[in-house]
Amino acid sequence: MLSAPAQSPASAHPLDEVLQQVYLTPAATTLDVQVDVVAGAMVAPGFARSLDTDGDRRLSAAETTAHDARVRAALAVATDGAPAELVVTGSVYPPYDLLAAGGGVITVRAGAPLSASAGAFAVTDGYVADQKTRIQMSVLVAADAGRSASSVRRGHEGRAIAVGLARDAAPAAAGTEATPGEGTGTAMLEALREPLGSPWALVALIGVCALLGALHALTPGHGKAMLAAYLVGSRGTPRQAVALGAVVTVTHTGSVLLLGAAVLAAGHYVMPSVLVPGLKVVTGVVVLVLGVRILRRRLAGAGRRSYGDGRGHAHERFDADERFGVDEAGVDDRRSRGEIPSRPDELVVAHRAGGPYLLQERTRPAPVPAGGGRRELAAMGAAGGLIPCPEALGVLILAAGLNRTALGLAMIVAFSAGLGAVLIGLGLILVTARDRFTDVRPGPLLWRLPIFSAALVVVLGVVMTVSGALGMTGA
Amino acid sequence: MRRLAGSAVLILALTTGCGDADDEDTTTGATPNAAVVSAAASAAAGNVTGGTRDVMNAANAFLASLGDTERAGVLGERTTANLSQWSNLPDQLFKRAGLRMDALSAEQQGAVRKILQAALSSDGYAQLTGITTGDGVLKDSGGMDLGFGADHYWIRILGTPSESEIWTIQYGGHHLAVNLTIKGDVMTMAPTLWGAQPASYTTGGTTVAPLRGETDAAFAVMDALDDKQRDAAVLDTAITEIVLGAQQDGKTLADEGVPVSTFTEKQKELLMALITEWISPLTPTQAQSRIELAEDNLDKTWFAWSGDTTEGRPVYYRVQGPSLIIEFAHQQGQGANAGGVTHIHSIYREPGNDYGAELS
Repeated sequence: MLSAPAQSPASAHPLDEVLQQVYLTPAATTLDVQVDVVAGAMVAPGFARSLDTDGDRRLSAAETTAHDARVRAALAVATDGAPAELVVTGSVYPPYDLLAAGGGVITVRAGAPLSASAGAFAVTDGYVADQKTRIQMSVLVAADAGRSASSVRRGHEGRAIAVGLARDAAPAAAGTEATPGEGTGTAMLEALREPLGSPWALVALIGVCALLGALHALTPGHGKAMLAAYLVGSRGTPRQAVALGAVVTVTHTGSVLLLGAAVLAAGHYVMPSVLVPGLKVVTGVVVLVLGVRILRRRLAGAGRRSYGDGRGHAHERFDADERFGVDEAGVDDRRSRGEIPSRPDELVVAHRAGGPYLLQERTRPAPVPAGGGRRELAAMGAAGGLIPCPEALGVLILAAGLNRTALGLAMIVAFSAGLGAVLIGLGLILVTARDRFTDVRPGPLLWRLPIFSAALVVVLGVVMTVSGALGMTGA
Repeated sequence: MRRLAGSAVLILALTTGCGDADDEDTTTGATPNAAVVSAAASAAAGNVTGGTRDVMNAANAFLASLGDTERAGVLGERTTANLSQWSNLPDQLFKRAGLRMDALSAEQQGAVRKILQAALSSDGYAQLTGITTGDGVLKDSGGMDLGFGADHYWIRILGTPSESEIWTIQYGGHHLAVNLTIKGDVMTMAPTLWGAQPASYTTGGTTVAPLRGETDAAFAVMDALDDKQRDAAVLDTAITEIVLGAQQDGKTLADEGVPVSTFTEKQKELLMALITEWISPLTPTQAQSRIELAEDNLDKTWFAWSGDTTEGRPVYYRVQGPSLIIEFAHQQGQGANAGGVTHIHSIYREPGNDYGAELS
């Protein structure tokens, strides 16, 4: 006979307790929670009365809502160690008399965001009825979620559960270790599995992919901060913003295709988990070098500007005068209309500099020199798009696995186009806003903004390089 | 080798004949030995059945014995709502549909029993009648009567009995919900809830324990595990009630416990014996393929345990794999009808195949 120490005895029968069964389902982008409450026949009358606060032997909407809130308040969800907001999405209550007799089940449904890249979640349940209460939390598997529990640990008499998550075998079998992305990537993966009913369905799918790419570009990452800093630091123009976004799009699409093809052709030797950090290092170094170059140029320019060296500013002054179309008198006119600040110290500075240099500096950014600028821009754009989105990579590999490679390619191109469109749009907004900003808010901080931005590019380059290196070493 | 052993167990357990219509009144127990003796006797009598055509014929014979109103009451569409309308609760706590046995004539009751005998193995039928008879014992023992008893079991047919179309037989009441779905020559009993209260009783000088086989075989598996495997199998906190009971259709549990891939051949044989206990209510024809499927998936199967590790104490165990989910909770309660370790809830499901979803 067995000699192992006994576990805590399963001593109670549902007849004499309130049993709350909690079903936790890690779905594609959410944690779905179903709470079933059953009162055993011996305790059901008291339990039903505790819900029926007005004592009319019916459960009103207010009373069920109050109990929903009780159930919700007792639950705490954390994903990857951070608290997650749990929202009740619905509930079903049996008639009062049935509940009081020990029949019927109360079901409360709720959901919390659970990103596709989440590695774990934990739930605690402090629900207590007036009667003896037992909690059973269980983890379910959602069909087509692409992930499931890899470990389940319980504690506190079943009131706490910690669940590790792992991707399902299906994507891994296709030879990738790329994680499904946020909701957009998962939606594309699901769409890829669905048959296309008509050419219009294909058009709609491509459109949706472009839209998903656009939405995806708004999520954290994708080098937006780096590109923004570069555009400001290099005093980029709208044309350069467009070019930068286009380069990012082309590079991103190309990197997905190349890496995807490499994984498909030699999945045993080409590991995205190693390649992607490697690409991060390359990107980081490129960004770092570019950042240093821009910073040096900006610092040199700032030195000239600070000490009123008018050399090299003739072009700027010409542009400024041309743009505003004014002379000193004209400036006075604009000042009188409130279009130019009239603070005495600015006027002093302007006169001390031997002309409206302050005005000129803030009204016309210095363009990046033509030859080096194109190379810089191409390098920065390539750096921005070099690291492929895992979700796009997953779509390509799954498409190959499903023998729908052409469709997968089209979806990725559409996805990248949508992503690039947003980056271009953001770049245009940025450079336009910067110009407008400089029209109305001059000052020492403002003209140092390109320096700060260039410094930010350097910092981002360092961070990316270190992050990639750590990723390669598995730290 | 293991497959041969499994087949041998299966043959012993399932080469059965159906008893006649009076078996319900002369149940001799559903312990493994009793089942084997009964199976051997039935096989010797040449009463082996199991073809779905027999089930269809029996169902049509039953329908023919009914009046129009009764027939309309017992037939229903195979909708999700109808399929899921079952529970382990007694009638006062759950509204069932179809026709209850005590509302039928003796002839009609006999026709219902013939359906069940055609659809189930002798072991399965004995298990079923052991549960329903036990409910009568529970009722006779006094205490709260919430609408149960040996004749408080309902028959319902969803869809039309057919050689080619999918249809479902439901038979259930307190602590029993058998869902037999048939399409062509394939039949599944997922989901089916087997309960018992009392878990063991004596009638006519014979001790009946409808789920003794499912209990003993599980302890045999647990007893055979080494310390490391047992630690992995035992869940961190107590589970006292089955998780995927009534109204939980379509759910699949995440893997928990000890992976069977770590088992020795001997341990796997013991687990196959347990799984065979659960599948043996099906006729040999139907059970064979499912047992082979379970065996093929052994390395993707998990075994979990909660509660004491000595018999006679409350326990919960779970076997889950790609082709089946088994949960068994032997509970201990207090108060009327619930003293001692005498109350079992258990469920057999097939992931993704509730009510023959994969047959549709």
